[in-house]
Amino acid sequence: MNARIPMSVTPGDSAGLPPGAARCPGPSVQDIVARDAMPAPAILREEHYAFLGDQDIGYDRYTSPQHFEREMTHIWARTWQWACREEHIPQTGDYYVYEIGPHSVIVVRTEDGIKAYHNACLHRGTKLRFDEGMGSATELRCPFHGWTWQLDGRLKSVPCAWDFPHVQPDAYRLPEVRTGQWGGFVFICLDDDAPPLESYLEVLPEHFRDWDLGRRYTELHMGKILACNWKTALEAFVESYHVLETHPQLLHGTGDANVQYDVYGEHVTRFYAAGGVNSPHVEQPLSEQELVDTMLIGDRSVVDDALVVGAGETARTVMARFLRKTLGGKYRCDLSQVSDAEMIDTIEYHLFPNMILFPGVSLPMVYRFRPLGMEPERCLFEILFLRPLPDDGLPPDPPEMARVGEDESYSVVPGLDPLLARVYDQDTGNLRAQQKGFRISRKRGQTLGNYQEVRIRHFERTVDRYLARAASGQ
Amino acid sequence: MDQTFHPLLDCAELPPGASKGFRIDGHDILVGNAAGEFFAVQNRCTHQNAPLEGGRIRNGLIACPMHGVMFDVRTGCGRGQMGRVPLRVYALRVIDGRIEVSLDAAPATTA
Repeated sequence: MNARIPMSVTPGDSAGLPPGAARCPGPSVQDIVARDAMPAPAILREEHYAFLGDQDIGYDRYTSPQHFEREMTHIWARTWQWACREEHIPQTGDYYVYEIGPHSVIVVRTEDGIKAYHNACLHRGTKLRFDEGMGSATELRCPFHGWTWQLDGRLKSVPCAWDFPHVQPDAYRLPEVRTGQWGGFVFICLDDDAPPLESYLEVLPEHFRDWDLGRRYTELHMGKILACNWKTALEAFVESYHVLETHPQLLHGTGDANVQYDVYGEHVTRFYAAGGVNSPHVEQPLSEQELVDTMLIGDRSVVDDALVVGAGETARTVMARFLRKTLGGKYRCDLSQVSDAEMIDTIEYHLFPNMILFPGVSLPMVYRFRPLGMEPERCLFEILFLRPLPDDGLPPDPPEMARVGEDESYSVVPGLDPLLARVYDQDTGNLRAQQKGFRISRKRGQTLGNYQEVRIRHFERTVDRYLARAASGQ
Repeated sequence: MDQTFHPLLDCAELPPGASKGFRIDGHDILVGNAAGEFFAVQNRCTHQNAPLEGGRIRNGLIACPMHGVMFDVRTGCGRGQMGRVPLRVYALRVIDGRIEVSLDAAPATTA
């Protein structure tokens, strides 16, 4: 119990603890999970926090065009990023256009596996495919003059070939972009010299060994343009400190202030929030039954009256048991061996630069944050829901991205739980104001909590490391 | 006003994902099967006139085989910069397992 640790209640008071050692009073996530009826996997039973400093994080990182351009050159053009899901391109000829800054990449399924090409015609540069997203073709034909490539990148035909005796087909293969696959995601990397995806992923494959996201399918895909820097947006989703103020309706049934934060290597961090417990901020704790009654967010579509807490049971056990049955039925899959924690908790990983993954079953999201074109103060925030693949039959085709207007509520998205839509509205509602505040403020940087906001510090430290490597010519 | 329907082919000849072009009274028409739902649209891409026959159909969209422009087979609406002009959509019905298409404008529906 963290209650054994002396706690300061006023800012500026260390209570005699070294920096980063203080925790929210009350049970830790590990205390909570230790009591579960179906135990959590070992990977959730470890902690991996490190104090990374307490200096302010400068606002110019979020506003400066120069910083943005350095990120574009030394991060976006150097790192592995997921471009699409494999289910976006299941058949030969299916492709997905992924765009980042000035770059555009066609990821295509060929008879020899997945390949990716720079999305520009070798005749006069026109984009071979104009827009981002899914498509299908038997060949890649430029809409301007009709130069055509086979899916494997070989030049197939040039109209009026008599006029191009200087075009040797071998020299006019579509230049390839590196690809890699993990967990049902197709990654691309624009740097031919960067380390391979396998090492870039660091601890992720080990952590996800029993969470095969390749056995999921995309049920929902939505995107919203946000009036802020891509890092401003991402950083709002890697800490739970904001729940108390931004999402007061979530306080019942969420261990917000005792969320566990872990940092690994350069590219991976996570938080782990226990569900079905009282928030340390709630003065009058709810009963186990009342906790169950508050835990319906995310899956109201499957709720019925079978949510009664029996003698000696916890809300976590009851809710996990209920969701195993109802979600297993809805998605035609066997969830009987899934632990309580994996069923109901919010487990969130960040893979640098811009991928957020939730391996849990009832909140199965993936987030992606990207700059919008070359605009430092606008970004695209995408949310996908990855549901378990059915044990029999085929899943539905992956949906197109549903667009939520800048000033629209997420409640316009068909199929999105209205309570979850409200949470996303609250999350994104702060961001324009925060981005504007960066410019208004006389103080020149963000002040971060040592523990609850350590993932932001870790993320910005990795940004710095990529930029520093560039400066040192590595 | 009654619509005139032209019988074109049996449902069994058009499995999910398949499409077939027809020419009726000067109209190029594509009849297709989108995951079990039959549709009829003009068989000319509004982008650069390529026939849509054989284009990949998924998620309720058909992709033009030439440049990949995609159209919603129910509404005819295109996607993206190359799909600004919608496809014409034709009325279709199934009578005794046979697909029939009408060239007439769909009658106004009453609530």
